[in-house]
Amino acid sequence: MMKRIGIAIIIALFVLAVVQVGAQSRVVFRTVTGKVEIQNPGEQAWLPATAGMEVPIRATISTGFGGGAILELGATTLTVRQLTRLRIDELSTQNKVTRTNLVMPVGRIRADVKSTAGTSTDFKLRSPVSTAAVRGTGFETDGASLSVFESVVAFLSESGISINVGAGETGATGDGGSPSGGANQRDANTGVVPYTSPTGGGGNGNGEPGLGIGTITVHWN
Amino acid sequence: MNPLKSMVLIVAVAGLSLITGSAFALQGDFGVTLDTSTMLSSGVVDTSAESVYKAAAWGELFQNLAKGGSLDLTAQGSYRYTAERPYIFDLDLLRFTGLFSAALGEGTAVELKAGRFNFSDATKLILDQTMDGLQISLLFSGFQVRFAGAYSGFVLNPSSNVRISADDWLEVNDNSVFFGPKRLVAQAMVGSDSFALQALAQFDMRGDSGTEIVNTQYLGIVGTPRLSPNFYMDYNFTASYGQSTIGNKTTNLISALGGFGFRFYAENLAASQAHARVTYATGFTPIVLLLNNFSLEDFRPITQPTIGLAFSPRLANLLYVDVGYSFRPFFKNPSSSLSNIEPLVGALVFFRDPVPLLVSGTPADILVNDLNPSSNALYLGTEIDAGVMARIFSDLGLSVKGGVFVPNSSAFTSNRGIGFVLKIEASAAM
Repeated sequence: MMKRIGIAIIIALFVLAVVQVGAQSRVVFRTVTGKVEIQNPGEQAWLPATAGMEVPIRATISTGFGGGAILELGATTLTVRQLTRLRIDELSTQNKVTRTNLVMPVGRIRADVKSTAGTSTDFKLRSPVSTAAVRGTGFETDGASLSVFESVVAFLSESGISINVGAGETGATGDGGSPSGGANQRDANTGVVPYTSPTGGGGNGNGEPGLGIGTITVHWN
Repeated sequence: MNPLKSMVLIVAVAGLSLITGSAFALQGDFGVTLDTSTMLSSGVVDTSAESVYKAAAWGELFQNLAKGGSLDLTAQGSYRYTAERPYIFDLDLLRFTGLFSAALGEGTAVELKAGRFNFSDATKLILDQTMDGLQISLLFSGFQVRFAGAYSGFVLNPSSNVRISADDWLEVNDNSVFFGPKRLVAQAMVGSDSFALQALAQFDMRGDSGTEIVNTQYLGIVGTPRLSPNFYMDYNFTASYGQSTIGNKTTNLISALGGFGFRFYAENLAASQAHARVTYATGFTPIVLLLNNFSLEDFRPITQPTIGLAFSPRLANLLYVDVGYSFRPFFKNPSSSLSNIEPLVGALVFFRDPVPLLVSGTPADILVNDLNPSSNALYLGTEIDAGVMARIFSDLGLSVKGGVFVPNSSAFTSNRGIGFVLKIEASAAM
């Protein structure tokens, strides 16, 4: 009898472990506004998305002009803006880590990344020029720039160099291999540059035209 | 592949690409920009109005490489008109940029720049100038290492802001001098936005033709760490050593530059940004230490920064407080024309370096023409600035700035009154 109970406990633990290791969270449309379509993996056809519809892994979501959707990925919420294309490559929980891998070739999303009790989060969003890896909970990105609302997001340029972008800050991929952030990036975000030269040629590298007025000496009468 | 081998390969690829040009066949862009700047002033002796008109043509060839790397060749030539110098044809920019991803392993990149482009130090108070040279940056996650070498002697004199020695200053408005001062500049920097260590050196290449030969070296720290979500601290300190040789006499130049301040950003509050900063540059201070006589000298940057609109003395024997605020009242308006309007206000309060007065009982002379030699006053005056910057369209920008300098009448000779300066700039692209 004891032997049977022991075997039953072992089988139960094994089944629990298998379920835990292979657990795959669901992705569901919470709301859909305007034209939103979904292309299931391996299929060519685009189907209209509706609220409550489940999104298979490796499906691609497309929003049209004026369209948008809110997706639930477990405890995480994704707000997909208009004119966005998004593919969900992975959403799984293994060893108490919820892994999410998204690919966004074009568009803009806002992510509010949350963990369920007892799990940690490994959330990555890749665009053609950058990768945002979440250590915190909230950011918005169009692929080339990223604004963080809560905690810290690791922002990687296409060449693989990363900076940490904190709440309230913006990271951006620009010229050169390093993504930029910090105070100088906020200068660029908040300030207006009246100079139109795209090269910054002849000036100070910030777009000023370099009119040759280095030192102005003014003598008062 | 070991790092040395990687570097050799990068330089070889970059050189070949630059020579052949064929690597840039895939993408290109070009355009023309028109810029004008007019400065009107009231109460000045020798300047009442000054206008500069500039037409520039630029072109760019670009090719993507693997893993986010790229090759880029950008050039810009211009014609500039002023009443004093009606024909200035200049090569503003001729820059090859090679970005080589994972050159030193995953998560790294090497950026190589060569040609004519802007070189600057992290503060932009010591060096900020277009020159001819080479810059290599080793980019890692969180920090970078940069080495640069450049020559200033092929930059046109009206385009050069390299002013260090007495000879350099004599040539500022000399139309017979075609090229700017000849200097060899070397630069090294390691660090991040929060903390960086930088070293600079410039070597005077005038040779026997100069009446004063000045070589200077700079070692400093600089950073802008984040204190809270909206506050950043600015700090920099640079110690400078140099040698001034006049005839057979060489004088050692020991000087320093420091700055400390804060920046505030609030994007949700109409894209507000504010700053308050104190900058200090040493003046001549004789010091007796352990029976040895030596002196701190006037700080000599490689290029002179423009400090104020109406009052911009040399960055030496100076302590000034700079405060400013700007915002974009229509920041969230869907119209980009309205959204890109930025009013700004600011103030600069100028003092002479107080250290000479404390040490020797006499303040050092600031390098302006009409200082009252019998005055011990440290306070020099206050400048109030206001203006609007606007990017009406992506291809049209405007800037209007006004400055009022209220001098301390006891610090200057008696004929200096309140001065007004208005600067209007327009920029168009096609």
